[in-house]
Amino acid sequence: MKSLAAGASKQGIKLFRIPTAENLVPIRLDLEVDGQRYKDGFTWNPSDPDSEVVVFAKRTVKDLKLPPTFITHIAQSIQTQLMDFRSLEGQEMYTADKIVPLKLDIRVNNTVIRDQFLWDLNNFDSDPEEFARTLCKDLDIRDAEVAPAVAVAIREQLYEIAVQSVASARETRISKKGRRGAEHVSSSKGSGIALDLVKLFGGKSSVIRKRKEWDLYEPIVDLLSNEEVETLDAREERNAR
Amino acid sequence: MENNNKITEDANSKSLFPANETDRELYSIPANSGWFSWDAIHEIERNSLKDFFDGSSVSRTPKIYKEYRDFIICKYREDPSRRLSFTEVRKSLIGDVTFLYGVFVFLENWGLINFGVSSASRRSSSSSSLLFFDGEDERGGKVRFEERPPNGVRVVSGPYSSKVVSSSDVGDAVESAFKLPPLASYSDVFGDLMRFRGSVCGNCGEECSSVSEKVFSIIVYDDSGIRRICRFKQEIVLTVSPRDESANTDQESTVMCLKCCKIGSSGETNGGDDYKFKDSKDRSDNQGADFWSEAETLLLLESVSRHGDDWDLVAQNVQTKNKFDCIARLIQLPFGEPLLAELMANSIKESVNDRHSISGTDNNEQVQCTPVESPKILKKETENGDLMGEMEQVDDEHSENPPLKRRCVASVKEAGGSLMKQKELNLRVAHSLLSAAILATAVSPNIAAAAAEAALTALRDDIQFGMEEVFMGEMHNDTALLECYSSNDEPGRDANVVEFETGEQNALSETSEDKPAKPSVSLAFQIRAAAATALGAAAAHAKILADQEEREIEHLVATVIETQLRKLHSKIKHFEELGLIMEREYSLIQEIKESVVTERINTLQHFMKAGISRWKDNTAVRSFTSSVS
Repeated sequence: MKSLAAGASKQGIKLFRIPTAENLVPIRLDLEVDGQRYKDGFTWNPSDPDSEVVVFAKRTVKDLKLPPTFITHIAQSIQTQLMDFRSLEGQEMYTADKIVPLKLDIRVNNTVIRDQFLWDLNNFDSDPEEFARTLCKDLDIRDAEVAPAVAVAIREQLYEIAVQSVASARETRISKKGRRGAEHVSSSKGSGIALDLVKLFGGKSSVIRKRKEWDLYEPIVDLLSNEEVETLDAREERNAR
Repeated sequence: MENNNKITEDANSKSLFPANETDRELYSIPANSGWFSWDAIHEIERNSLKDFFDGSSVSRTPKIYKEYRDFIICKYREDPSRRLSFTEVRKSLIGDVTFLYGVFVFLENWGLINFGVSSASRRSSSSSSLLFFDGEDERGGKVRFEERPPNGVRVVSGPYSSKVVSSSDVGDAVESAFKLPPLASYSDVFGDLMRFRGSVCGNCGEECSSVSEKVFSIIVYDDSGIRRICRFKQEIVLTVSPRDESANTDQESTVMCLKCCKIGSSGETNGGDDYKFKDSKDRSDNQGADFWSEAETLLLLESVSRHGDDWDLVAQNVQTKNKFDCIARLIQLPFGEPLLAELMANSIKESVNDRHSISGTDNNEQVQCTPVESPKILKKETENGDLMGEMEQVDDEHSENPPLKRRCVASVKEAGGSLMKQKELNLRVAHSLLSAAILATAVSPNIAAAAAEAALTALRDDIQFGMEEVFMGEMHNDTALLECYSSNDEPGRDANVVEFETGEQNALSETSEDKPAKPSVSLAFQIRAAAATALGAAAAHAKILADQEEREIEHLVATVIETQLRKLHSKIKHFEELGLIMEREYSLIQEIKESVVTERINTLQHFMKAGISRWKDNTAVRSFTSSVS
């Protein structure tokens, strides 16, 4: 990992990967088979052998007591998502000094978390899982499912931004503008609009956030009652259809 | 680690906690975080958080790191009893959360935040008290319980203006036991001493790196009872001033870092030899207040011989000086110098006088220290005996001490010409030993120990000269001194101790000032070695005395207990005897009672048989019968 980062750091061009310490791919499952809905999110190590996917699907179905038809669907879904990821591997992505605000708005069981924070895409030592664990510990969230969900949400966003930066790197190569690529990055659309680093971290301004902005970057946790969860679930189901 | 620091700690701690500073809000940090400073970024920080210092991004610069760090620490110190969480911090800081988390974890690991707030007892521990004491208190048995500081106390970083520690503070500081709320940074506690921080080398313009760090530790017992050692550093800048001070009075003395001095790049006009090292602490000691005229010295000697170690009386006699001055002066006196001069008149003049500026008449102010072969250091105990013998000659002249056996008188006299130098060295050691020994005999062990220790501290400052001999001596002395301290039981003496320190340091630093000028560096080493030996011997002597005292006390206590026991035993025996007597008497009474009863019965029977009913006696009979029945 280190060598990879060091090898191509000159112009912020790196081979595509999830910009974290561990190259784990976020997998999102949302399947509906025979009227039964299965939603899940987790990370997958792309260097694991593909045979694991089926084993995982079988075990999941067994553990969750889902009908066996789910096995193929789950395996297929994971497989396609992994294929998407691998198709990008080996390509270059542009990651020079890019800090993006990440937003969280997720619901896990009865817990709703809304949060916002900055993430450095150029930091290949970051650890979303650790961050999520700390978040849950600090906020005293008991539900063990929350931390992984937060981590997956972070990874999903990072993944998306990484995909965009691959595109922008391609653009940069085509337009032969080389170092001017940063403009393309900032102009490219998506959730990860890079911040103006010079403005934020440049000489004059303090890195201490203005007090009125604190609330924006503070995590908000809501614990829902069971009735609320049910109504939310029902609404989501309606929206899905 | 602790042992190494122990000595410097004691020397410094007194000056570091002036009594008038107790109102200051202090925070404690763990020992290993002593490097922390609001004003600078330490090497540890650079190494642990490389990302901020390799210039890889605009978003990570040392300045930003410092801002992060200071904010987090300040945030924590708003309420040190509460655990600060990362989530709380990150909402107020702009930057990548991963790096922020790195900084947070780093600070937490080093105890700069969330120190003493164990995760298990986040809230409950806020009212628990911590127990602090420094080395001084540990020995003196003074222990302070310190409640945590009120919430909402905030420490704001700011530049600390530089001012000079005058040794007059030292006196005030003696008795103050210091308080430490749970979290203190180095600069909070020792802000005053940080004034040296800003000193810049006059030559190379770098921040002065010749600062010799003195480390001392504070022992903290946290709520879980774990003993933590807090180490703090006191930094002392070596001021380098032109040798010929009188010629340069109009010129400001410059501070130069050791590096420059060593390289000899101290300027085109001045060679490195023209500079001497100066412990900035000692500067004020040389001033007029400490000057002793000959008459005063004589008066002192006279009154000491009359009143012994009753320093109050001595000081009264001397009038112009106070108690501490007198004590300090007495240590500095070069006893036996006249005798020496007579004995060695020739050889000294020839071989040494021209080389050592320390010999001769001009050095009345100095403790004489001379080279000694390194093996001697290790044989302090035995050597002590020998040298004591030699010293006694000296003693008699000054009638300082009761004369002891003149064991080694012959050894001085038999010294041949070739051995003269060696002999002279020994005698010089004897001087310093004598001064220490006078302390040990005339004053009290702990004062002697303190003097020796202070001198050692001064020696330690010169360690950069790399003399292993002194090191050996110090190692040896450390243990002795530490043991001596364990017997220190008179807080009232502390004032004296400090005075001794300053006196001794003064003397020693003067000798060391002379050194750079000397052609032979090894000689300087040897002199230091000799000083170490002498002081070590004094310390050993002090320790022996302390031990003796301790043994005596133990013995006395044992005797008292034994007597009490014996008393108890005899009392018990006495009571047992009394019991026996009582029992016997009781049985006797019983017998008598029985016999009385039988007699009555007999009498009654007698009456019955006689059949005489004298109505007169009826009552008597009736009374008999009633009493029997």
